[in-house]
Amino acid sequence: MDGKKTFQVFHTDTDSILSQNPYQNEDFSPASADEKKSMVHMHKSISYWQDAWRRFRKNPVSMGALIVFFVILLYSYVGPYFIEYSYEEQYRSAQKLGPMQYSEMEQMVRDLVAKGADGVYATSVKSGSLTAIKKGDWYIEHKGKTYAFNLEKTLEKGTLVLDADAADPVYIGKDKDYENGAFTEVTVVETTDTPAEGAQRLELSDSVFPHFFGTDSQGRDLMARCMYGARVSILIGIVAALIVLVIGAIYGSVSGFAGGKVDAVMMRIVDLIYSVPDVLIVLLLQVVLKEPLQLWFDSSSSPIAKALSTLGVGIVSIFITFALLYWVGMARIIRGQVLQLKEQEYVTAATVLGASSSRIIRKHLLPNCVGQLIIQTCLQIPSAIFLESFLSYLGLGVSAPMASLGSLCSDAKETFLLFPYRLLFPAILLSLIVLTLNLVGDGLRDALDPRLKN
Amino acid sequence: MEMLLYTLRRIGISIMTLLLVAAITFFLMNAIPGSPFMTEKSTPEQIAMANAKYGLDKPVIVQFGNYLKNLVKGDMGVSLKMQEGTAVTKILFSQGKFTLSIKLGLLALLVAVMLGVPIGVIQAYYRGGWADNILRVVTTLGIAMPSFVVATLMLFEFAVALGWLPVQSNSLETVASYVMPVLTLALNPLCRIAKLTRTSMLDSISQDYIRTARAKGLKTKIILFKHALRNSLIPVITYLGPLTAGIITGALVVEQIYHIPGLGNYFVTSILNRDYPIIMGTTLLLAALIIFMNFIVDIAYKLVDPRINIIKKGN
Repeated sequence: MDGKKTFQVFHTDTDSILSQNPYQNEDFSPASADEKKSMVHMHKSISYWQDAWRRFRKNPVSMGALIVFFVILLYSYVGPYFIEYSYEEQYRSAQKLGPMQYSEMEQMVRDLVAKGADGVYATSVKSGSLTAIKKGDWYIEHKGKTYAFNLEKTLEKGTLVLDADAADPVYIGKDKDYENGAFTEVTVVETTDTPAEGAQRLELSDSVFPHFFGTDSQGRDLMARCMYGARVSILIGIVAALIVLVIGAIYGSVSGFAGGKVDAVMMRIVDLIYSVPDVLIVLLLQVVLKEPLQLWFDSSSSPIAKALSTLGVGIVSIFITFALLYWVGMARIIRGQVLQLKEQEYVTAATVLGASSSRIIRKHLLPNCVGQLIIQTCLQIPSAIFLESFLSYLGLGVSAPMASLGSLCSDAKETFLLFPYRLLFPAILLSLIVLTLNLVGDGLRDALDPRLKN
Repeated sequence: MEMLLYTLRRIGISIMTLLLVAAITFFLMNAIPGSPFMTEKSTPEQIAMANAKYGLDKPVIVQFGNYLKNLVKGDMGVSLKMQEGTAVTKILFSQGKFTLSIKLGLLALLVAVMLGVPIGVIQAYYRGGWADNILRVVTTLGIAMPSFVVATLMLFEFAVALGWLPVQSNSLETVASYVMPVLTLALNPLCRIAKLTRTSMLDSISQDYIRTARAKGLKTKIILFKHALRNSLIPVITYLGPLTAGIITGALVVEQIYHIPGLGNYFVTSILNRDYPIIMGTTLLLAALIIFMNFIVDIAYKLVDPRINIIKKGN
């Protein structure tokens, strides 16, 4: 021996092993079409959203609430295109009307039309205090015929009537001469077929749009104001919720992801803000912010200031309050979620692959919190609407001529005993919006996060 | 020992919060442009004189320091406008405002708890039955309706249409004048408590120890009230903190609607009048109430349920 260690070559008897192999060569041939079919899934795979939607749909209460909310959205956003009044126009002759009531002048127009008039221009029924038909040349077109005439005097507090069948088709009646469905005295206007040069066309109306909810003391249509107010309220709720979402999500995820001392300090700040009695501070903020904001709007020419000034000081200070005080709840919840999620393997994997912290938060952590984010945002909307209405009711939020549901209620409170419906309509609308959004939020929670159910 | 440490810590946090509220309020108030003495008639000299008289000409920080120094001595300054020259402490405590609001608030709290918990228990007991369904609709509505809506509806129904109760409650001299303000104030928290109780009752009913009790052959009622209810009340206790805040907030509106000369009403007027010392005093008093209630709740929470380790929970 030369002292060298040798190893016996390890020979294996492949044949004896292969003989035990249950698979034969033909087993490795390509599968036929039939065999492939058996591998096809019977159901389409369902995504997270489809699954959530399926659960949400099964919840009749939330589904009903969602539908009612959509109806309210339609009412407040599409509705204004179907009614003839705007939220700020004041109709002097139509003040303090009840629901479906007509003012004396509006009733006159209706009576005249019912008695055969084809068109009416009643200056008292138009918006504004001093509506008039100016003196000069005018013409009316009705069923292919033209009636041209010359007004020698400006017509105020009177009504110009067109009755195509009568011998004298156009006449004018003064408001003061109107009694029980007819004018005691009318002035006939001479008409010709061809309008004089420079004559203006006069649009007549042949009906009066009803005031479904009545009007307020300034003669503004309450339904138009309710639609507008609902729009403002919903908008405030959504924007405030988005502000809370952005600040709360960023703060919460940074705090949760950073952990350790940073987290402890950040959460102490949250605790402190959380225990500050919010409404007391909110009331103060509303008063404090008013003048500086107005000053900024008036002096600054930047597009942001312009856009914000159209919203008005009251609304902007509501947003600021939300940005300052109300994000803490969201921040706490997101932090809790992130604390759990950051222990997951995919976060470790992302860290190993060299992803930055902000990338991990943006691409991995927040998308996995999306359920919570949606639920919290959705539940934030009604609470924002609630707070806004509370402030407006105390006279601190939205100010005239703008209207929110809260400020409409506030306007109605003085005359509540005389005109209860003025408070009732916006109050019902407000309660409905808050109620439906709460129910939708609850349904979303059950649908997006089934573990939390009950 | 642990409990003592915790209590001390909570006291520290409470005082810090109160200081924070004082600081925020003070600096916010002073951020309002112009002087509280500015009227159409007053000349700049008059304003300067008034500012000097009340120490408003000094830097804000110095003013704040002075205020805190006086506060420790129990001096909250004097009213600048609404009751010129009267001490704020006197306005807050000796004119019946505080007692009026406290009476109202305590009654509302009592009503909310005394009605809310049983309603929640009934709902859990008859889960899915008609009683549960009806009450669930009512409580959901109660949460969705702003207090001013509830107040005005009640006013219209009971005071105007039926004439049972007085329209203005004023200083709450008669029993009848209490009914509507207390109910209005209590409705929202009542509904929240009922919901909370229902959920947590259902939660504890599904626990193992309830099954054990059933297996032992105990009566359903005993299981429900003796075993389940006790554990279900813990979330209700934690809710008492926010509840106090809610009642104080609600009082701002309710006192205005029913014309009750309480603290909430006075607070709103003082803000609109910019009477700094009164705003400051009222905010501090109300904030102290809320913070104190939160403190009590946290301690009670720990005492009621020894399983909860609050010191760790904070992190």
